[in-house]
Amino acid sequence: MRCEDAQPLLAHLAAGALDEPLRAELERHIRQCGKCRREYRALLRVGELLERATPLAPPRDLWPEVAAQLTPHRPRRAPLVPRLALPRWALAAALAVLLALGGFGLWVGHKAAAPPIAHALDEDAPYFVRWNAEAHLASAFSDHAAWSLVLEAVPEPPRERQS
Amino acid sequence: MDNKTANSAARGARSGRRTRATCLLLAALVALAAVVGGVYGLRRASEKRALELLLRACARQSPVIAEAVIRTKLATGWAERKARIEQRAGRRRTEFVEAGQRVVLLDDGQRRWRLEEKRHLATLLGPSQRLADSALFAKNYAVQTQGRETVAGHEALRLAVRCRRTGRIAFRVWVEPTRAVILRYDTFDAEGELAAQTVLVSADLTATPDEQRLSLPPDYRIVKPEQTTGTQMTPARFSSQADFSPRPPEELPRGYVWQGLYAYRCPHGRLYAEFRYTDGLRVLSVFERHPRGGGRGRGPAPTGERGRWGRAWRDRPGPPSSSAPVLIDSGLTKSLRQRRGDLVVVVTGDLSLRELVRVLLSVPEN
Repeated sequence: MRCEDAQPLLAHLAAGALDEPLRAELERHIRQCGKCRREYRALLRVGELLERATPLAPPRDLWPEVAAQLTPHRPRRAPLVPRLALPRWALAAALAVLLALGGFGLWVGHKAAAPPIAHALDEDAPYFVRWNAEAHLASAFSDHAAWSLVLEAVPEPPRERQS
Repeated sequence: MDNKTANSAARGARSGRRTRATCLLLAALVALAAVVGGVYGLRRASEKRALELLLRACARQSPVIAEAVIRTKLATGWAERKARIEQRAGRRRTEFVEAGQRVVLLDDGQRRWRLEEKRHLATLLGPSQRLADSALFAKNYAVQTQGRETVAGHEALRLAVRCRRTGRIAFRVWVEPTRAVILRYDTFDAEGELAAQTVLVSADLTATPDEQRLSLPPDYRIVKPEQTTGTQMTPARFSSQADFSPRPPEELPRGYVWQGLYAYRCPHGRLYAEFRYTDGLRVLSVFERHPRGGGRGRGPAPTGERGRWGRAWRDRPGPPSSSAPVLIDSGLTKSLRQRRGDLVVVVTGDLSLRELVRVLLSVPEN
């Protein structure tokens, strides 16, 4: 038995409230440990002093004074959510995962299907494609064979000047 | 040993274990940072090499004579053509054969032309392709090497070009690394779907194209249609020559920069202003016109120089005021149209529908 285990039991030993096996073990420890032995003897002396003391009767008007200082007792409500027996780091990790999933869900929702757009005809539509394709051809990085095919497929503007 | 000394010894032991654990944790963090930094540095170096190879390939310096198959997504479906491609020293000739007609697209290093052999006609299309936007391209796109494959009998490095803004692949090219020749080019749209493909089915990387085939034939008649390239001008000049003042969009996708304002007149006589933007690869066009066609009755044409007005434009009513955006074309690019106050606005570009709507709605209504 260690001192940390014996210390709380010394008062019970002095009061004679321990079972036989525990009392024997504790007495074995006290025989070996000077600190616990001194403390046990001090407890025994306190007990002897208390037995010799004359009991005093409390005054009649003591209780109202004591009662006035007591706070009213409120029964403790059971928690709505039971406390989980999880370490703090596990709870923090679970919260982080939930936040990450929530953020991912928002991001996916943001990048989700394009807004519904109606189709319409515009007789100038091929020219927008052509003019935009012309601009693409000005970049050396674009596939100018593919953009040239786009130009071939859309109407060519009429010729205005010849030289 | 009494209890006080035993407790002190225990505390000292615990303190020592904590110090060792802290040192180990710090060492692990430093090692992790070093590994991450090393991986990042290697990746940046690899991207830089891939970009350099792509730049060399796009400069089209190496001679090539090849047969290719070209597929492009249009509003009406896919179009496919066979073509003969010849290139050398920054010049390129692409020859399509369709229904017995031979159409040649020629880039002579300074200008691009459409040649019609039967009629000996050369139509000016615009200036030659240039690498001027390579810095802007590198800022908005990351080039990564993905492996090696064989295309048209030549070993090629596969490069993926990813848009930094969207994270999606914009195009893939297969480049013969020694001569920096593009053997295959796959273009993807804003949604990541394949939208165009050019594949060389046979390529001779040793043959040198004939010099005459890469130059404008001297006996061809030259045609310069006004509507083809548009006329660049300032917004103020455009407003003085048209009866409306174009308004630029207030929101743009990240990475796009303004290239200029261009004036066009379509064959139906309608006058358009185009705010043109680019991210180094893709082009975003915001076309605007007056609902009834635009353009002054008898004033000079918006050419930036005095010239005749041209034929009268037809008076056609435009879409109702502040109507919802509508999709008027969807192929390699998409076009959205909406009436915005006193203007009809059409946004054309290779963006997602959501981004196109955003640009369109950001054009002020007055």
